[in-house]
Amino acid sequence: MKKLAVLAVIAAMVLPTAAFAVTGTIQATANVLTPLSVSTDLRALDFGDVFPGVNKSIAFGDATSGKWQIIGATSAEVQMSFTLPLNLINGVNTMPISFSATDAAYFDADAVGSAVAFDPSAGSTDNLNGGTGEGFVWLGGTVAPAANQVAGAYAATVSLDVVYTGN
Amino acid sequence: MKRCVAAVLLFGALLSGGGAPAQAPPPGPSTVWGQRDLRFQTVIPGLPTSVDWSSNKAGQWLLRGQRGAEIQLDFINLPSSLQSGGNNLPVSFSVTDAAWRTPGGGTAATVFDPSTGVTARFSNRSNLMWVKLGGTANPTSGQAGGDYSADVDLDVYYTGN
Repeated sequence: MKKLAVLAVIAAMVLPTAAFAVTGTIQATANVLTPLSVSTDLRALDFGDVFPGVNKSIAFGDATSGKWQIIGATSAEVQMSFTLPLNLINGVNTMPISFSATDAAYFDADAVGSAVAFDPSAGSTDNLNGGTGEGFVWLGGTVAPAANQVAGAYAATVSLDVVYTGN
Repeated sequence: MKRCVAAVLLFGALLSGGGAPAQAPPPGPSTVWGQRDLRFQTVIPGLPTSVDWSSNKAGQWLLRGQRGAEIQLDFINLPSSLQSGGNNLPVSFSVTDAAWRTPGGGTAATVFDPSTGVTARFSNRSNLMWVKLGGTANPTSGQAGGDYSADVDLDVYYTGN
């Protein structure tokens, strides 16, 4: 009986309380992708001289097509979308501009000859280069000056938005 | 006197249980084994990423203790950010981001607020309990790329009830 009493006392003494808390540790981890950057004005879409009443087109593979460079996480999938103008502007004068379904192109290196065309109005989803994290986008288009188009330098902003898809 | 010492050793062994944890269990009357990291995995700058406590990416601890005993679970110093060098990635925990479950209690888990902790109880049929933790990583749009991490500690003690 005495032995049982002693054991009960010992057991009561070793029952843990807050002072005897035990701790287990894990880690919370995350891999943040390199933030995307898109070059501004790497090359403007330049139609050069345009004659009133004569449409002029620039293909994405031409030397004066618009061009952007994207830099991000290697191999990451990105979605590209354009904000396209309807007109080029010169003061109060406007000149219509349009984009066909094959006026934009993408490749994961600076090689327009290997680029794959896409519709700039629909955008495209592609992967950045697995080694450099780069991507390149080219854009052509067509301007349609009226026969009585007022002479002058016309311009408009073309925006390219690029976001990670998470894939 | 020798008998008393032997009894104390036996009691301690019963509470500590067995198993082969990957991390050495801390000394004490029960063991808390950090079993799995809370993994946000790939995080996109500017896009919050959440991990639910029930996900296989949630953090997980395995507890061994005394059957039927009541314990207090406290996340001490929940991180407000993960670190990568000199950069911080904000993280947050909602009131439903933690849960505990005992094998004898069926599949149902009890969800609780990790910021306040909770009182839990071992099943009468098992000396095991799992505690899980989710959360949300909140990267800024300019968040620097890299591998971020921080410790998350779970404190456990018997309440005596």
